[in-house]
Amino acid sequence: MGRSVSNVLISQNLSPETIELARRVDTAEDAIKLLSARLAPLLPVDRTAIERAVISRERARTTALPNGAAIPHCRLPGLRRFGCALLVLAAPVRWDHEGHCVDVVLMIVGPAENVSDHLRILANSSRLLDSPTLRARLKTAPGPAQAHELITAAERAIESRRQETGTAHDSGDRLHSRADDYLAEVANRFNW
Amino acid sequence: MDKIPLPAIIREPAGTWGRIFLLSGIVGILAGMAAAGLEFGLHVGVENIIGRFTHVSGAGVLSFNKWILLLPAAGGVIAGLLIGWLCPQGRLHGTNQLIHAFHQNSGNLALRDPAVKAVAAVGIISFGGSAGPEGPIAALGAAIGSSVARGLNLSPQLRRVLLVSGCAGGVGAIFQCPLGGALFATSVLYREPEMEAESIVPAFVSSVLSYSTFMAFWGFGHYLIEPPTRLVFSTPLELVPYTLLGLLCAGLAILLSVTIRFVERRPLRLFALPRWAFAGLGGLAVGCIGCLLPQIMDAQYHFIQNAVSGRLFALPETAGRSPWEWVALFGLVAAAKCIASALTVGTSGAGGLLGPSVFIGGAAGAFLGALLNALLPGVFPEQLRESLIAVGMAGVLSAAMRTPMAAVVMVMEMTGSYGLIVPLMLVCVIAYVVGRRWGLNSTQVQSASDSPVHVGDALVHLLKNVRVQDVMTRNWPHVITPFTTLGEMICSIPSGSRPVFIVLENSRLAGVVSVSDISRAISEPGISELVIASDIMTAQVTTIRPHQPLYEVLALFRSANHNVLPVVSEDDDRQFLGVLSRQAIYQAVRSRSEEMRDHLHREHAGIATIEQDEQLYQLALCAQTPRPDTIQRIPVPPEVVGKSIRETDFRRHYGAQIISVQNADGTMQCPPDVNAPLKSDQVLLAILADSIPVNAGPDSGKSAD
Repeated sequence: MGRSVSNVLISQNLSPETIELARRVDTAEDAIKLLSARLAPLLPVDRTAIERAVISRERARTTALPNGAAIPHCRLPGLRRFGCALLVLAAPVRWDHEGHCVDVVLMIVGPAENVSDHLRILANSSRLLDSPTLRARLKTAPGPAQAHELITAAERAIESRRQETGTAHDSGDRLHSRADDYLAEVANRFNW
Repeated sequence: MDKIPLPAIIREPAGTWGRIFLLSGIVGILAGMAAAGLEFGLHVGVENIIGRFTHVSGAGVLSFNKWILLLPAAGGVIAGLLIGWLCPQGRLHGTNQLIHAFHQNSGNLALRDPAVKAVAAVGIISFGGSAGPEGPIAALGAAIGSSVARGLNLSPQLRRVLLVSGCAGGVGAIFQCPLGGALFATSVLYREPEMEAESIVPAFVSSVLSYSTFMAFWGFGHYLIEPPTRLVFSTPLELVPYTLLGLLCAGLAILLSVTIRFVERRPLRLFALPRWAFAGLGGLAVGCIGCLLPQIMDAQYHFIQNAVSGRLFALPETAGRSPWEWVALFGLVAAAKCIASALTVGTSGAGGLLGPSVFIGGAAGAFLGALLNALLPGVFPEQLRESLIAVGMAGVLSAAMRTPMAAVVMVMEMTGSYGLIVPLMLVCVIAYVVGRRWGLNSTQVQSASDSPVHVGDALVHLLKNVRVQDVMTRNWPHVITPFTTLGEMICSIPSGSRPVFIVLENSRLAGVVSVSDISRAISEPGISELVIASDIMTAQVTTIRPHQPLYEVLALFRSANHNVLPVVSEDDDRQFLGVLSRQAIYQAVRSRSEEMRDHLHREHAGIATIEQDEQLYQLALCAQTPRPDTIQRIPVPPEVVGKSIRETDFRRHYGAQIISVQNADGTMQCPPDVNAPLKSDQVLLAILADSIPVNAGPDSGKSAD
């Protein structure tokens, strides 16, 4: 039996207001501060609380992926909902001491109590940003609304595939390794 | 000056005892106030109702008066209506209520039933009924204790302790015997002369405070019964009349018991009368007896007091009465009190038999004293006659309530007769041994081992005496940092195990990552490097301390829902010392159980024989020719080596029910440990379903022998 579609998706917690395209920042910390400022009024929560938690988490272990994306994330006590913010950089920035350079940043902030949905959103984020075609399309997106549409479509495809392939243990890795195949198809539909 | 902190090993028991002392003290004060209120009600009621028409403390007989005849009936109707209306289900009365609550109802005794019955008892006694207020106050005290415990949401164990404390307070106050009240409350629960050890100390505290509260209202410095002289046991020859007294008390206890059983069962079945009508008829019968012998209406021991002090013999109306007339009076009063009490309590459900037992015993002692005086005038000293009354009070109580030790102490305190301990012991033991079969408390259990409360005492005792530090694992291998990635955690999980990871940051406990946390993360592929321990760990960890008993810790395992709990320092809840697993507790219990079994075999050879027979039976089964529908010996299939019977689910995969496991050295595990990993050199004894072939399991063909 397939898994049901989650009620907590990136696309539901991401909005054109929390998407920044073709921005220039000097450091990873600047990127985190920028996204925190976008998320804070929507959640609502103090901006510095998000900044502190995300930077602290990054110092513990980097969330940069080898493919040029980073998924900084944290769980905050007292939060009632999830918040996602996307930053596509005009030029890559050095993200950590390990030497990762990053040009796509998807930040996730969630309630401290809800680990399951947090992991679900992280998994979807990892799958989305693992697709080179999708990352390339995001970098050329004409505006935040179009970028949001692309992510919504891609996440829908991920959830559909999750349902088709049954249990996550048996099929999850297979699904992930072949993510680019079907996400590339989705991304190619957005030809701007 | 800085406060010097007490070590936890002293602080926590002191806290526990302090709390019990405080609560039992509060219960005692409340019970003492209730007893004082009840006593006040009796004084006012008796004086203004039945006391206006007769002198229950005198020696007069045959004083017919329509009020004496009708008032007990009116009292019965009122009490019957009150109880029928407010507690229609309350079949038990007095001490039976609290004993039932202790053994069968987890110490729960609602306040309403005992309170209503206490009020009804005051009413029925004030109207001339032959009942005592002591049983109702014992139940009311117990209900106060139980209610306090329930109000504070205490455990059933503490609820029972406060229930017993409340009873001790009630009895200690109303009988003015603090030590006796505590002993009574802790021993009335059982037919055998046993005590509820756990409740003794709280019962003492409660009884002391209830007695003090009661006496603050009614005045210190007097006894319930005041002998004119200091009563002592002075010669071994006195043991002869005391032996007779013991037998007489047993006989009267039996008469009381038989009568009340008859009244409670037979007429109700025959006529199916409503309670109030039945109580009215009972009251009418008591009124008839009261016209003949008004002394049976005395619930405050005035008649006994007058007999002890000798005032009874100096009253103007008794002038010229012969010794044999006194014999007849005391004998008739004792017997009639049995019948009248059974009629009052048995028909109305109001009042108790604890007080009447004491009264009947006193009358029996007076009867024997009068008899000896009539048979051998001038041979026995006056002091023996007085002593017989005091000692008799304990005799019937001992048999009727099955509380010989408490009866001895109670009467010593009630009369201040500490010099009578030898005859008290003799009489109480004789009365108890002869009459205990007819005890009044039907809800008593034989002994502690027969009480549902004490089922599993050995296990509880073991768990309370083994501490975490005795069985904890100090070098737990699954320790990680908050930065350990999910991938690293997964790689470090040994095959077939389900560890709990302890997350330490700078050697201090930061949280735990349980198997379910990891399972949740594993089900989301692609995040093994993105998620670290601090992302998924539980930071609010339930921790335990080395000195805690396993009994306390088990409740935490249940609430935390983990198989492993971190053990931290006594004074620093983040200083990690090791872990305690459920498995370790199980092993400790098992190892102690084996020690107990060896001890049992040494003490009781018969039990060892039974187990040997069982082993032989198992071996015989092993030797039988295998048939598909019988027990077969199956070598442990290679694919399940290292897994437990529970994990393997033999019933589903192989159609086999494992009943025993034979180890390589020939010893048998029967029943098998379903959680222990199976070894390749073990042999399984299994019942195989007829329809499922032996090799039905996965990769089988090698599973049958």
